[in-house]
Amino acid sequence: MLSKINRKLLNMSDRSIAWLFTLPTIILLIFINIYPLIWSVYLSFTNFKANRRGMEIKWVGTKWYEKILMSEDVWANMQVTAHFLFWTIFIQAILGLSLAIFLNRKFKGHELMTTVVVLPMMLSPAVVGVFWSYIYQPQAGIFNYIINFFIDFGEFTMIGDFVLAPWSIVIVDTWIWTPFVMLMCLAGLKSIPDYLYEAAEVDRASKWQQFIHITLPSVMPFLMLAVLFRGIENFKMFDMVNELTGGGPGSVTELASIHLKRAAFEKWRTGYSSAFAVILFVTVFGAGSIYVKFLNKLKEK
Amino acid sequence: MKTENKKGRFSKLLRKGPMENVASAIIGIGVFMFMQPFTLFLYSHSFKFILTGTLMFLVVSHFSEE
Repeated sequence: MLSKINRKLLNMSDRSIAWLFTLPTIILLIFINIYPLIWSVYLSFTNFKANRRGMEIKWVGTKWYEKILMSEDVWANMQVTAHFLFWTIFIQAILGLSLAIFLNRKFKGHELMTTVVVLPMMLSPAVVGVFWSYIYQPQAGIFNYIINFFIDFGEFTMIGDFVLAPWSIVIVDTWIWTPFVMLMCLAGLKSIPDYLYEAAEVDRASKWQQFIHITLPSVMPFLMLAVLFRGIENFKMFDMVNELTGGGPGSVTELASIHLKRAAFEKWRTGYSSAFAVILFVTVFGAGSIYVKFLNKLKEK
Repeated sequence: MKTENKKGRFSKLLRKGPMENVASAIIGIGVFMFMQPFTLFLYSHSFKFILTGTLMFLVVSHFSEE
């Protein structure tokens, strides 16, 4: 029996063997990625509720899509998401690049410094959300103490204030993920050969000119890749914000994913939440596609 | 001769590069409309742009370069 199988395997072409090895993975991917995706697209056109399993499933057409796209509340959630997305990416890109340039220089303790800077990235976002809620405490939190040490604001609350709460989640996300952007930029900086700087010095280029014409173009593809990863990740940010503010006060920190989770698992509006998930997926997919296209163009340059 | 010219013009229009740019622009406008804080009208129509652009991008990215 075994020799029969062996003979069959030996007679197979390279192409067939390649298929034999990749087929289990393809089947697994279809079951865990493609099938749920198609299923949720189907559910988005129905009145299905996950907490009422015996209920007759009715086709409702594009009702949920229309409801979501006419809702002022969801529109507000998208603006909260846009604010969070823009500021986290902007601040993380600047801080990450600056830190990478700083840590790319050899100085005493630079390896220890790199390890310390990278530490926040290793923590679970949910855990970070919980302990930052203690840091932000108005009476006992160290954040207020540090701010008041430099500028006397008196007693204020970061996560309870309508204006400051959106910034509180930006600060925490920046704290966690700047090291990631820094690591990506550091990889880019390490790939620049020294002779480019030596040639620039021979040509009497200033440090600023070296930065603009050598450092920045070399790091840019790495930085843009980091921005892509952070953009996709922050578009669906949930755990940290849910633990830190729970979407409040009011709904000023209610990101799209928090609204989605509430609709799906608190109100059990499965059809509605599936429609919203499809809208978010298509948006991320579309934006990601054009971003990758520009990234490739930049690499070609 | 005329049909060949027409065919040439048609295939020139259906090249990957320009069509991808058009699709990217539609997606970009759609994403802006989806997240802008100015008017609900733009938000309400944003998904049409995003979906059209994304589907168009998927199709035209399989076109040939020339």
